[in-house]
Amino acid sequence: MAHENPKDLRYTESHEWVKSEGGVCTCGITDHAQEALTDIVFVELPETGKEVAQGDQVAVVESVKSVSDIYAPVSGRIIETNKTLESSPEIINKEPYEGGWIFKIKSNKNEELDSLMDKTAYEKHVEEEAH
Amino acid sequence: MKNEQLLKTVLFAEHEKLGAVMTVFAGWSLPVYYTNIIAEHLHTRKAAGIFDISHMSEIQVDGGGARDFLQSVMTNDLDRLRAGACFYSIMCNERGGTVDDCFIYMFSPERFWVIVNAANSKKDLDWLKAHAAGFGVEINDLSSELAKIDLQGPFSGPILQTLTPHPLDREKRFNLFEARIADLPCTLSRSGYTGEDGFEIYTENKNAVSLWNALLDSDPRVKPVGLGARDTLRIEACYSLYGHELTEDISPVEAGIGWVVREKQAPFPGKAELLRQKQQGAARTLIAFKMQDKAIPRSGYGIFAGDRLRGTVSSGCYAPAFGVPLGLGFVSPEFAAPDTPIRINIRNTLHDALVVRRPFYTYKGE
Repeated sequence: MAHENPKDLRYTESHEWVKSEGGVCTCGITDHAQEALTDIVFVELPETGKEVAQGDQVAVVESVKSVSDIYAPVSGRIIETNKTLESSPEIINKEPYEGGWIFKIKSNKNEELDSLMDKTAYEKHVEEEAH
Repeated sequence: MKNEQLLKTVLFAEHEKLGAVMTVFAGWSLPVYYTNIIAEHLHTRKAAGIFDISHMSEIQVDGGGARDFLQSVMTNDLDRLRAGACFYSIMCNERGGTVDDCFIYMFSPERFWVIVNAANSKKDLDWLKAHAAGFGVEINDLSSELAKIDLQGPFSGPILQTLTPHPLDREKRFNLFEARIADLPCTLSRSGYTGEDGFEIYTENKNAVSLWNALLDSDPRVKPVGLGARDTLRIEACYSLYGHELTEDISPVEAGIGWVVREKQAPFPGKAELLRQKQQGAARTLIAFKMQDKAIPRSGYGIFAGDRLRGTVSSGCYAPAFGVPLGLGFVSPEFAAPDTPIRINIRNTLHDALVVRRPFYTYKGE
């Protein structure tokens, strides 16, 4: 059931992904993260309009077993959240990189994006964490 | 804790073959799930699941004084137990707090097993031995020799019957019996920790892999279930978990299981305080509550009535059979009545919840 980590995304050490398109960063959690959490049953979304700094805790994903904080991969303003997750949080398990996106940040800091990992580096990071 | 220091049950390699995700519980490496927790939970409710519970401890009490000894340390009344049956009991400290909860299996007036929590096995063994002087009993820990597999779910009986000549329809709830399962010698009780009909099956370690696979292969309706669903199943059934609803500082009366404290003749640790709590009421009491939104209560979260902190959540989860989050917790008795509105402090926001009658899920066996 594994989902390929897309090449055009950037990744954080805490297992968020970012897709940057014209200054809008769509963010979610990686396939590795959703698999580790399993059974996602609740997502606490941030308020739109909120200003966040890179690394701020902005959302919460709860599985049957555990609670996980989701951090802002980049600084900026939350401009949209995925309201579908309020009724169907399990979409994150099914489509972590598509329907399971969590929030969008309007960002103007390209250097923050550059500091994140690409697919290859992220997969190495996941590998290392396992040991 | 490093992996190599963790204890492994004799079924560890089977769990790996089944692709289990492992977790650490009481120093043991155990499967938390094989597919996912919700699916395994629902499968147990509608069909049958098998659980590796080999981490739990079996303490054997032997000797002419075995019955009198247990009568002097257990809150439940051994006069209510017959050979060939088992019952739930508590061991308490002098303050009425809980040393451990357990199941007592009576083979004969001279032989009993006390089944205790893995996390407490050393403490319990020492505690039992410390109270045994003068009773003429021998106390032995059989845990390292025995594996334990629970078969739970509405089809447990018919499925198990295909593996044994033993007539299972005459084995009622809480019966204890010996039988050959898949031609392997086993000790069984018709009991469990899920709210469903089922069996707890004990066998020598050398038979465990064969028994596990015989159960798995016996019927396509049998699926392996991990500790994750074991926890959500027991929360729905409102069964206590040591460390959550019962601790050295929580009495069984507070935990809502005062029925297991009997007004029997024999003295036992904590008796005076426990009977006082039963008569006069305890300072706090266990409640079951249902969240009014989708936020999940977790152990340690504050329980509010109005704007005031009135208690603490002891267990909580998303409850798969109900599709909503449920919780257990302790509050002052005035907030314990069903339909009392309470609020749970989840990440500094108060979320509405409602006290409901226990259990959420009523036992579905015979």
